[in-house]
Amino acid sequence: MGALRRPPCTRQSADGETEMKHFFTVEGQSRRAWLASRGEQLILIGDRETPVRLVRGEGSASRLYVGDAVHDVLIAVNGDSVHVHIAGREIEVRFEAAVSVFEHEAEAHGDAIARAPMPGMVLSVAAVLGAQVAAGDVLLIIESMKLETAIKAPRAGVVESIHVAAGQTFDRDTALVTLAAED
Amino acid sequence: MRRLESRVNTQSPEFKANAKHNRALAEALHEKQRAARYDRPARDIERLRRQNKLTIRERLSELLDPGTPFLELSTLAANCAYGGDVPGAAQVSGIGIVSGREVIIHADDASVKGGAWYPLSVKKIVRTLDIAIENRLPVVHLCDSAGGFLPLQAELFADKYFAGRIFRNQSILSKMGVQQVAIVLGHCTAGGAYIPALSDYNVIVRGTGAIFLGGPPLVKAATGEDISVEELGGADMHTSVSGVADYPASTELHAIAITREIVGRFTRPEKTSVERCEPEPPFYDPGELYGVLPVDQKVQFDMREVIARIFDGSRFHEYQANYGKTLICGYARLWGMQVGVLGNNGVLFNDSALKGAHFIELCNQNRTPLIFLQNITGFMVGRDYERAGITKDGAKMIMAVACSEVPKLTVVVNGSFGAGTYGMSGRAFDSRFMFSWPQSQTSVMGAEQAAGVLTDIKIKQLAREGKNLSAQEIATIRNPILEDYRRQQSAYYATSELWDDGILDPIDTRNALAIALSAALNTPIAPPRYGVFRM
Amino acid sequence: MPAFDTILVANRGEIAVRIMRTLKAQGIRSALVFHAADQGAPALAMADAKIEITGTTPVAAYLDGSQIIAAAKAVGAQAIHPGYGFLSENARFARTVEAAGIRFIGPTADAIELMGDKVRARRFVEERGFPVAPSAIEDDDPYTFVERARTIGAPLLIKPSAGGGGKGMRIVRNLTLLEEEVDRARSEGERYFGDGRLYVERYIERPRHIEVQVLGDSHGNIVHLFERECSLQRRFQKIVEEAPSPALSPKLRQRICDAAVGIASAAQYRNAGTIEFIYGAGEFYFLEMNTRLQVEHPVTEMITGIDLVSEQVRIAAGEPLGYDQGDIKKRGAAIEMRIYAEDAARDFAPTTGQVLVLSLPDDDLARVDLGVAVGQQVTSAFDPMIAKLIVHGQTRAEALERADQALARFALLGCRTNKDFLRRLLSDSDVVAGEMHTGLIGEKPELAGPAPLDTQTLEAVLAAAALSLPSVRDGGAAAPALHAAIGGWRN
Repeated sequence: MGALRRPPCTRQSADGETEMKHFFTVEGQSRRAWLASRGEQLILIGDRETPVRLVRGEGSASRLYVGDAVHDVLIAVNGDSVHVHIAGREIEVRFEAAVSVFEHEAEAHGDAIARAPMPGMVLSVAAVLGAQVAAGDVLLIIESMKLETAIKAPRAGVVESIHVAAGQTFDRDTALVTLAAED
Repeated sequence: MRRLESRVNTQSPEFKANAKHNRALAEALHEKQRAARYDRPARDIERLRRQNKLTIRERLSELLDPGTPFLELSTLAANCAYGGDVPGAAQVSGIGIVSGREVIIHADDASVKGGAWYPLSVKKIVRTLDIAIENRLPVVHLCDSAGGFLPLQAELFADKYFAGRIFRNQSILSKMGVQQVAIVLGHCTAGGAYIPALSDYNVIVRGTGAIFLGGPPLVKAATGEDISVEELGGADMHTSVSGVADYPASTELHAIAITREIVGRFTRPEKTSVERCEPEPPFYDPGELYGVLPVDQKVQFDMREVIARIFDGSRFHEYQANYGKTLICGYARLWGMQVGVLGNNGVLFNDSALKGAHFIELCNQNRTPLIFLQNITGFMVGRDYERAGITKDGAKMIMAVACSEVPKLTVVVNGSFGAGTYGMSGRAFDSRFMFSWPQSQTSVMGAEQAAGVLTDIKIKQLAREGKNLSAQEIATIRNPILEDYRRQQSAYYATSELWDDGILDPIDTRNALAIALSAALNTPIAPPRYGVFRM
Repeated sequence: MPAFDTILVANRGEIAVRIMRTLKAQGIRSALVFHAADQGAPALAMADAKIEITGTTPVAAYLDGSQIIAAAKAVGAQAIHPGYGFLSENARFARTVEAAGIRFIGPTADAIELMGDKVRARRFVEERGFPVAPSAIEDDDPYTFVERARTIGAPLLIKPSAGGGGKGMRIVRNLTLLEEEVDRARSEGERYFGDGRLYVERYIERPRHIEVQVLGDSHGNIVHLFERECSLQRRFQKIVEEAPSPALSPKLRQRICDAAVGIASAAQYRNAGTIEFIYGAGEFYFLEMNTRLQVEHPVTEMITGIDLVSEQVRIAAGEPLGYDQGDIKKRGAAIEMRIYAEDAARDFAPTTGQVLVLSLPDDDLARVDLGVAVGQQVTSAFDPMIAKLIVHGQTRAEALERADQALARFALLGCRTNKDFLRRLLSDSDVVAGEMHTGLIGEKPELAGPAPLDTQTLEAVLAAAALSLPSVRDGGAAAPALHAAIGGWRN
């Protein structure tokens, strides 16, 4: 169907607003949005609906229409990350599937995995497979930003697996050590 | 198609009085719906929070696609039953979009009596699944029920359309290849356990979701065994040991997100093709429907004025405009989809019944879905009409309606009385969906006539016993009958008893019918075939 | 000595490119050593000859002097340019290179040795009457080191004797933590420099970092090329440098430049070098001397018009400077902005990723010294500095304006950089006023961000992302047209 106008006199979402279902992280903050197609495409954020259009130019250059505004942007997509250069700023928008978001939220309560707070290299591994550790025990020492940082056990448990070895480099959020719950 | 010319004077005092009256009725409807959806004793909401549960409305908000409609069905089910204590019959039912797929949702409302199934709850669930079967709609079950309401078990357990029908319908859906997902958000005990078990997919929430034929107390009583809920039927046991459940989820939000992924894998059905074109909003403002409907139910109005405020561009191709004028027949478009419309402009005469039957046959031949706009007091009675065979003409119309293969949608616009109810595809005639407007009435005859008939019988009976009644005594007999009758013929009573799929604010009719029709087109339309028309 | 026909560049990234640019201009063949981790880097595309080197880590390869000397011999290079970092201040390497009959483009090994040992250097400078800050040196008496350090009083700065580039430096404001911090600094010193010896000096609060570029030839001529101010630092590392310093009066400039020339002369310094000073409350103290080309050398080139790499090569070839101090004039103001692969909002933690898009400001707006190319992976294997933007203006205000324009036009997508942070930093009122000190960034955490996003921009970037990601785009389009058209209707 082509462009559709909404007929007059229809009520919109008198109650039961739906939550936007796509999760993005923008500048460290979680945002929910949705892209709807109603003849034209609309970005839905909270209760705002704005028509959007992206016209690809040469290379990564694009022209982005958002409501009445026009932006010349550069866009690069890398997996679930979209890097946008807009108004002289570089902004990374990371998309995460809702299932993963809620899974991670739940995992955060258990927090059984020590993850890399930043990219770096493993200097030494203190954790021993099968060993009992207390919350705060040093699991390994990493080097990042020319500084040593101790990665500590997020909670008490048994070292179930060590995912890295000394000398190995890793990216941010890499799982370093997994702890199993105490019996 | 030509546009209808409205003859309504929107500036007239009459129009304004109507508008005021009907707007108030619509507001009253919205208020009742709001209360049925949200008004709960604080302790019930607190209990949900304590259990880490979302309300059913929050669950829906997480489940449905943003920017898409949700057609809620039978919102006011049970509003006249159980002392009004079981809003919505403790169930939410509706058609919405999940991950881009049209689905029907059946959800227990745990904030009402712990989601217990009352007789009308069972009726609502069965109806929801009947809709799924008839319209091949995938089902998302949100299971959070305390189980059957035992004091009323005789009215919900054993009969053909009682609780067993839920599981029968689930099985039939599966046989038809219509997919189902269940989310186990609470305890699914005894019969309730079969809902997730009979679904193609199910997701269970760790900690709050459980499935078992007998809960821990029953197990204790039966075998003396002491066992925890988690151990007996929790998420981890069922997803890793028994295979009763498929996906464990950490939280309700997680479970709903998994469900959205599952539904997102469903193959979209190929819709039955009907004649379509670019949609167009009605030329006349649907808001004027309030002014079109007379304050007094008995005052006749032109159904074309209603048609002009529901269908695309207010356009209507009328068939046999000069014949059988009390039944308006013709083609219109609803959000671009061609439909055949039958609307009453008075009592059904022989010619109007014949015209109706003929038009229904045309639409079947042409694969055009039918929409019935009811405002019918019945078929004409009287010597001339009986002699002209009004009964066999009515039978023809009923035969055509009953055997119609194209989907039918019915709206009780105003009155729906007597055999007219049947001829205009009442509940018994398997309209795919049936909606009522707030002031509409449905009964075998009008309240006044019925009360009159019943009072007369009583008077005659007493007269035989030699008693002669004063006017006041007659009134004391008549008034309660009248009251009772009025109550039971109201739209609120009809919807309470699931005689329809919900009361609509008239201005919502266009969208509601479009969503219903879209769903109806999931099912292929068979070639026309009828029984014997009495000629 | 004849001019060189082949020079081996023993470095990587932007500096390798920068050195080769001058070599090319002078018709000198460039040879480049590279580790496989640098595959796809622009330096490789520029080199006339490439020799792969290996190591247990990529960094180890670039630190492996014997492989590099072997490479130089293999390609017949007469000289090695070490760039900065890696082997540039390794006296032993310089000595081995020279012993192999190859010219080390830099100072003598003795000068590197003298200035490389921070303790010796301080003493050398102090003994010759130049100002240094109060300090305690571990080597003087290791047993009383901590006690002596304590008597200087807080705040203190612990530094590895063998250090440089901010590695292993620690500020101690609370003396009860002194022992702990000393231990940590020692372990870092051992690891980075193979030398755990430390020294401690008074930490001057809110100091400015001002350094003077010097050039000396092998004929005893030494000149300065004016100062650079490098007070904008994070984690003791410079991120924005400018010349001239807005803090100096002509008189003070004269004093500080004279001191630098004096120190270089005393050390009989040859080639390009930098004498760093701490400046605070009208006084300056010798900090250290860097015996190599500095990262920030372009700002000096911009205001003097002198190509420092070219001068280094000429000096190494034994040519005299051929000009004296009076011939060197400064013109206008220059600013360098270092583009780092890092997340300012996450405490400047390094970032990684593939360079997907690279868009540079025009040449007439900014000089771009670039170390990465599209498609290249930015890893944590190397220093996260990946590019430098250098602008020049008639006045500092004009330079600042051009700096902002250049940053706005520079785009590197795929790996987060500090560019947005740099823009905010350069528009900070204190920075604009020239009121800077090395702790400024630390004192203004709001600069690090994340910068708030206005509704419009947020909406725009979410739209850009949604329209660019198939999983989102298709998810939205998936709603049946009828339902999408009806929208969020409820009955």
